[in-house]
Amino acid sequence: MDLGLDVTERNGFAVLAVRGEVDVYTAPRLRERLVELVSQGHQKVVVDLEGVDFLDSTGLGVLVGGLKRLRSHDGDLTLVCTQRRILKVFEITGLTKVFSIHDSVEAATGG
Amino acid sequence: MTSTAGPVERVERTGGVVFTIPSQAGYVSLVRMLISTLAYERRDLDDERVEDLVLAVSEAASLAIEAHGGTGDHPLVLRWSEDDERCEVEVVDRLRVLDVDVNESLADHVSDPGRAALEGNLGLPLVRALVDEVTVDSDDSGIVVRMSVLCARLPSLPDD
Repeated sequence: MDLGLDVTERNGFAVLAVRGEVDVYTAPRLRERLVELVSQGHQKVVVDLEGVDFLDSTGLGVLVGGLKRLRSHDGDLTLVCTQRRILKVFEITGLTKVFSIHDSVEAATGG
Repeated sequence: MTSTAGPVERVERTGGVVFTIPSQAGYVSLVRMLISTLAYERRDLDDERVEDLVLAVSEAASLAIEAHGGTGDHPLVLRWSEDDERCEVEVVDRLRVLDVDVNESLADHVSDPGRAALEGNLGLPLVRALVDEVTVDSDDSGIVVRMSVLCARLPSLPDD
């Protein structure tokens, strides 16, 4: 299964665009990429979920882990997501109260 | 009738379909594809309910595969059945190593002060939130996670 993980930089943010399905099989690759970004010194990370077709609880756990890791380095992890079916998973689990979720990368990075 | 195509053994039986897959994480996407194919054949299940069922089954299969160690040594069995009122999927852990509490709710994990500490254990609570009924039982076949969604009653078509 293909999982796309592309990093760009914008206004001092590392923007990680995720494409494909994030599940128990692919989530470890997302975790590795987030750990790599933190170890490279990035403190402000935006995870763009607009290209994600499926996200399960393993993926949620990886995002929460990334958030905790960044906050422990005085950083932050925010999300971009407008897809109803992906947002629903955050809403059900109450994680909309944990993450800042934006409508676009521009909104997440301040322009 | 029993047939084998690649790693998936498909056994059709009256009113149901049984799939056996290797208990490896890479096969969970195949589980989703199979369940969505079966569920989309129901015209009384809307897209959102199909997506809910697919995610719930994916979560249950992932839990079982993780409990098996993800080695693929022990196959995972999924049983689909349906009638006029419901679609039901069973994930069967024949190794009997799946240790889940069906009464666990999201509220147990997602308390306000605890949300940011949450990194795992959301699988079964999420299943509970997504489907109309979920039970975990033990029978001769193993530990069975049974998930059901109720189907909308469609109006009768007028007679010709």
